[in-house]
Amino acid sequence: MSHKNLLVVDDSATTRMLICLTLKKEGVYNITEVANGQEAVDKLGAESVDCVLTDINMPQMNGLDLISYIRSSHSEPKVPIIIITTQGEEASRDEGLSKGADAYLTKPISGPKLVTLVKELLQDA
Amino acid sequence: MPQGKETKTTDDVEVLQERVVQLERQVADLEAGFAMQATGGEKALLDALSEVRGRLSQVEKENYEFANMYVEIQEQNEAMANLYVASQRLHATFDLSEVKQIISEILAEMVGAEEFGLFIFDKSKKKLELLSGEGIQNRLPKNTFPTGEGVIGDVAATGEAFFFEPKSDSEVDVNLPLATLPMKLNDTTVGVVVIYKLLSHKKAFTPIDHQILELVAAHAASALISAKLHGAMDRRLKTIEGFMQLMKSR
Repeated sequence: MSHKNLLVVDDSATTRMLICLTLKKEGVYNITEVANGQEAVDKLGAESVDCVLTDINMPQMNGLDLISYIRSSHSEPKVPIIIITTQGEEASRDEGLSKGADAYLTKPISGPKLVTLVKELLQDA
Repeated sequence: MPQGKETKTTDDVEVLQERVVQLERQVADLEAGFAMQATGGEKALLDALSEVRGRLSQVEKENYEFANMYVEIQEQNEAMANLYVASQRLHATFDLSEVKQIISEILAEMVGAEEFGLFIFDKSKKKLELLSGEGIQNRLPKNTFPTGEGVIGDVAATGEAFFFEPKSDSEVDVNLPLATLPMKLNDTTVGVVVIYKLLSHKKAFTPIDHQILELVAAHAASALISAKLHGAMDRRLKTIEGFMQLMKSR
């Protein structure tokens, strides 16, 4: 099975470490981590990415702007995007999904839930 | 679902359950009748069938036990991953502002705290001073707290953790912290971690949260004190270096 490339975007190094540790255990993902939307844009321009996991509140470029950028510039194949945020309000969820995210998870992260979701989205993609 | 429709569905389920019991009884009767009339070969087949049924039920039971064990192991794995990350991050740096940032990240993103504070005990002033926090400015306009006063002061004085976990909305007291933990170094309380409010989508602490909070209480103190000492030593070193440069230049 070929390894899928995941891009983890979060300004919290603690959260990035937890996400990477949770997904690396599966043994089928190459994970790149960056601290904000702008760094993610740079990575997306340089590397092939199969799935993006992003926070919303970040300096320089936030998660919603990053999603808008991905959806407007990368039409095919559609890269699955998962929002992982502390914002649990319904309005935030709706906004994230309407911008083009495929799934919305709230922090604290549930490891099994995250693993299942990434697997599902990569199967569908 | 409308009430009438719900009652009808419940009635239907009861009727169906009764029918299943009747059918099971009929099958058992038929099998018993067949067993009484059965010849040698048929009896052997019936015995084999009964044995297969017994083994199937055993396998089902084992499956159920394995499923439970899998869930338990998954929970333990998750707890270990969380604790590993929290402890790694707490001791990842000697920079005081970074240590404070990391503790905030652990409380906000791993435990799900929305309003929290980190207090350090000032022995000379007998006060707890706010070192860092989020969303608690309105609660503590002076950024200090006398020891021995209120829940936070009590925890600082006794070194015993305090948890307030309301079971329903009516029990909620917005002025009472949900968790107050002493930060200890060699059995001496050097500070207190206080959580006033959890994120709106998080209703209560989970068992993993309790483990993370225990770890923070045990390790945050050494991380903070180490960073403070390192900062002080660094400043002294720079002063001495500056002095040495001055002496050399003369």
